[in-house]
Amino acid sequence: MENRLLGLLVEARSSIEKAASLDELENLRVNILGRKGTLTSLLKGLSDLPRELKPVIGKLANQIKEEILAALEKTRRILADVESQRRIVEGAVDVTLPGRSLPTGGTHPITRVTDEVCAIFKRMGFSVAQGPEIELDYYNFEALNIPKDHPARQMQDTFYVSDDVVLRTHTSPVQVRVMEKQAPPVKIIAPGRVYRCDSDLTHTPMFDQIEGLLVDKSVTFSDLKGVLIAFLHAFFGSSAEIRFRPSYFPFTEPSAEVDIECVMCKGSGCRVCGQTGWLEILGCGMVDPAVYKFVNYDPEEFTGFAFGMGVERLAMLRYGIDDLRLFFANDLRFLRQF
Amino acid sequence: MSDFVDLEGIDPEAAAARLTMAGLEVAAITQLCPEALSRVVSAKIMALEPHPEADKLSLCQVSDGQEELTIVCGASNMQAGDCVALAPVGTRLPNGMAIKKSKIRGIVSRGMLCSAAELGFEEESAGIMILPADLPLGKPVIELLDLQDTVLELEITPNRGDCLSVIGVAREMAAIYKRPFNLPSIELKTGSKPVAGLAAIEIKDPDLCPRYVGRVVEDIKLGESPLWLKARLRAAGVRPISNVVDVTNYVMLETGQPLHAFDLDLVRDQQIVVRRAGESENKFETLDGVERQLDSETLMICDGQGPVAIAGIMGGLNSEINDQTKNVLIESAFFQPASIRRSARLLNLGTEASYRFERGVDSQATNRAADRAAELLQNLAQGLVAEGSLDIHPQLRRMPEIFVRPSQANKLLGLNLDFAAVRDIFGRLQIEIVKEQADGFMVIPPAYRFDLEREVDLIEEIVRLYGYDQVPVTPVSVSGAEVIDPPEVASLRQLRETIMAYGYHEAVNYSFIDPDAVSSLQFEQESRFYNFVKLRNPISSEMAVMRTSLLPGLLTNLKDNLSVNVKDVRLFEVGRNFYRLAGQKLPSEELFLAGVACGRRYREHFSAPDGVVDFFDLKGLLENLAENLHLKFNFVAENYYKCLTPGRSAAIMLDNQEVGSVGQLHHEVAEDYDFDQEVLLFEIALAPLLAASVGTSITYKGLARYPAVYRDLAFLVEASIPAAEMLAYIRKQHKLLTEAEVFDLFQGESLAAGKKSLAFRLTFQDMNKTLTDKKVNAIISKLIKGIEDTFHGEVR
Repeated sequence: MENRLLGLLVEARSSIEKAASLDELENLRVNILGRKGTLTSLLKGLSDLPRELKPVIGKLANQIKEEILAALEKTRRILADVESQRRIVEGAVDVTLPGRSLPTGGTHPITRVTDEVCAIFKRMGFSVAQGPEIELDYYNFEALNIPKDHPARQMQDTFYVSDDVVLRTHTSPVQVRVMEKQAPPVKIIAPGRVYRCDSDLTHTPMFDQIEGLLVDKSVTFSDLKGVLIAFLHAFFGSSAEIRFRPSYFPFTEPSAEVDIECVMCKGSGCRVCGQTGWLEILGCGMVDPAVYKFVNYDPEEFTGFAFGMGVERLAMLRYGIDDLRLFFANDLRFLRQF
Repeated sequence: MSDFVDLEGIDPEAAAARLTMAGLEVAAITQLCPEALSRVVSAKIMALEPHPEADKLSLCQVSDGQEELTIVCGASNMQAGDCVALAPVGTRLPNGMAIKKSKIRGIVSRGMLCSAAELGFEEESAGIMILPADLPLGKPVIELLDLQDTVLELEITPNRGDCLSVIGVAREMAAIYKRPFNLPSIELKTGSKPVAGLAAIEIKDPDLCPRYVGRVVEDIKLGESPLWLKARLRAAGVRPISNVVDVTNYVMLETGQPLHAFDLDLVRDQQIVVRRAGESENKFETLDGVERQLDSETLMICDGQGPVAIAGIMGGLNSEINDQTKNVLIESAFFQPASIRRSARLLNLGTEASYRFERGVDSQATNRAADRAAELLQNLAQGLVAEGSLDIHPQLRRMPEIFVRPSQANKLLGLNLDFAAVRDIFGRLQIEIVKEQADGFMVIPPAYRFDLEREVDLIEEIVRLYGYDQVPVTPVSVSGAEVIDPPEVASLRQLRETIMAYGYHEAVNYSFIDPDAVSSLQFEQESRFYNFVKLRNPISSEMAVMRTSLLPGLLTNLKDNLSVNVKDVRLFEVGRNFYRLAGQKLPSEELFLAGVACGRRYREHFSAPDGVVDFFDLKGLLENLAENLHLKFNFVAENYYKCLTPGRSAAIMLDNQEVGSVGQLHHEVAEDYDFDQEVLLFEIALAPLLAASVGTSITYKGLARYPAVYRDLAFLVEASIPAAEMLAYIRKQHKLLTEAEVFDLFQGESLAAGKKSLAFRLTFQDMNKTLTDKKVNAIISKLIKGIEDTFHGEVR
């Protein structure tokens, strides 16, 4: 009995070590340790042994069973590692191949810049207002202190729908519409499309502006400078040099043009800035008392400022775009870059 | 400019910077003559002989005062002893020619004798330029001819008509640099005939012409102007014509006062009458030879018998200066700006003169300009200036008295200026202080400042001279919390994000379209797509009306992209459409979202599913757009976008309201655009969608604690039965049948013709207990019976 047990152990070890797969190993386990397995069958003869031998052989049989289990476990680990390796190797792909993807979309650069500008002003407490693109002469001109024969009308080539209806030439009419409806304080920005009858390399008949208006008690030219410098530093970076120089708009007084140091040449003079080192970036000024008259604000009680800027110009500077017409060609080779 | 203000120590660059910062923007700084011309020097022809090898060439021995040079010259208008302009070897002329030492027919030429055209002084010239004989030799010609100068090109804003002249800018320079401004006195010879016997002036409409000054210059020698004058005119963009015309133009550029010169002998009765055009005078031929249509409000300059000029705009052909002109009447007048603006607009004719009159000229300087022109005609055309001038000024404009409070200036500007600072600025600007009170100044602006009428205008002057850059900056922070957008704006942002996630790029098209583009999309006649807002003055017929649909723009974009070989196109646009409203001045402007798609559904990939975009891709996109706003669209097979293919298009419904359409472009329209693949489109009105999105709210429902039961059921039905109707029927069968979706569609040979098999996945859920098969089966049996009865469907 003892010899047969030891023989079985030798035989079992040898066949376990030779097992080539986890399935084969499982078969061996069943063949040896299963209900009808060789060890199980052998142990059934234990009851026929003399009483004094039973504890000795029983102990031996248990040891042999432990050893077979240990051998099975050892081989199982080896085979499991091999199997795992095989699955990994078989499943490997070339991870440098391109991913499978849906095409990605994107926002037009005009929208991107508009959103960015609006976000900066919203953080300064301005809210967004809108107005019609087809506008009464009254709002586009008259109420902005530009009467019918005013030379300033020649500054803007106007598309006419009828004698007193135009495509708005600027976003400034929104100022009047908002002030008509609302008593001060007013603190708005108004992004939108505007139109001028002009089409060449540097002009498109439609473009985008962002207007701003702040009216309250004791708003000063200093505040105007503060708000616009804060905006320009947020948009172009806080190192940009900024200058305010006198200009003329019929609906503001004093009026100013704001220049920033050329973002391309850092002020040393280049093609983009026409060798001046400066880029004209927006127009602004203190709201003219004549405009308050149209909306029944008391200019002795309230003061304020307004400003306006061209979105395409900002986008051209931000992204280095050198051809205005690209904005409206909708060429995907252009749009996919944003 | 140095005639009027001392420019000592001010270089042009610095002056330009100061002018710009005072509101007179300097756009360009150039030299009157190019830098390279300073190498061209005066020289004397010492000897002249024919070229031994060429008939038409001469050999000149030329001295520049230092050395003698042999120069081969092709001209024949010079002789020994003449003073000429020598371009030595190494000079580059304005026309680009570089002077080199060269051998011409065997003789070495060490430079070139230049013509006025070669030096850029004239447009054309015959022969070389002969200089005055007494000039020193070896000096730069441009210096000798008084042509060395810097030209500043300014952009003058419409309010500053007073700066449309050298004197105007000089006054600004004086104010900026705190230097005195002075007008040189005018020297006229005395002893000539009195003007009174030579001409007469009458103003019949003083409301339009408050002042008219006439001066007579007799016996002028008509000819060319001197070089310096021509060069200055050219620098200002004015073409030299003759000394008389050039003088009137030059004085206008110098003083800002437009002048007109009449041939006095062509002024009938030697009389000038200023009046509105008569009823019968509706036509007039201006000196450019164009017949102009007048109306009775147009102010005319007439002679004893009829019109000779359109006041302030252009002279007439009938009294123009011509080769025979001997006696000249110089007109210097002040016309009402509004009247000139009106006439110029009516005639659609803008001139240098009308540009200045429209903005207002100095009514106090009318006579001085006439005197100045007389002086120049006396000096440059040997004219005899008649004694005295005819100066009629029935209604001179009085400048307003304006009260200015320094406290108000400080309040508006954020400054702290005292009375002395304000007084100083007013003094520099020649603004007269008539009274000074405890709270401010009563002032009268100078007559040339039409822009100064109110207190705020003077406050602007204060800060303009004080310096915008000196105004302190209020510190402002950009770090506050963003103002919250209204809900519609937030919903629109969500829509954009969703459609971009589907691979669509945003397009921006012009709002104007070709009306034919709308007809070619075959929208139903009489529909609102034809309620165009028409432009009176469009850029072109292709941009004649405001768009009523975003689709024409997007289809053009698609075509353009395909033509540059971009094949997989997905574009969207958010923008306004415009519809004319009967009886209303302003049209309705409505925000729409539209998209166009064609090409592959996925990016090209070795293992991506094949397939091109079709109807269900766009429908799915639209369903998701609605779902993201917690809304739901319904799609019905009929729609009014006739450019879409029937059977592959649907109207988009939101709460029973039609808000848009989606579908495949009709093949006939596709052919018009040369599209050779399926094109999918949609357009949807955003206002109802955004408004509805504002009303939605989310309420949490408890999760089921008992298992759901899933069953699949397929029915064989007529192919024409819409799936949505069957789904709707199934969904309202039983409250425990909580969800139903179509998961398969089959049509094919194994089925009877005209039949389809639709398979539905049904979800049963009881929130309170575990469902039994028996219960589910009972619902299904009833459902099958219902489908059989309602749709004649057959369970498979």
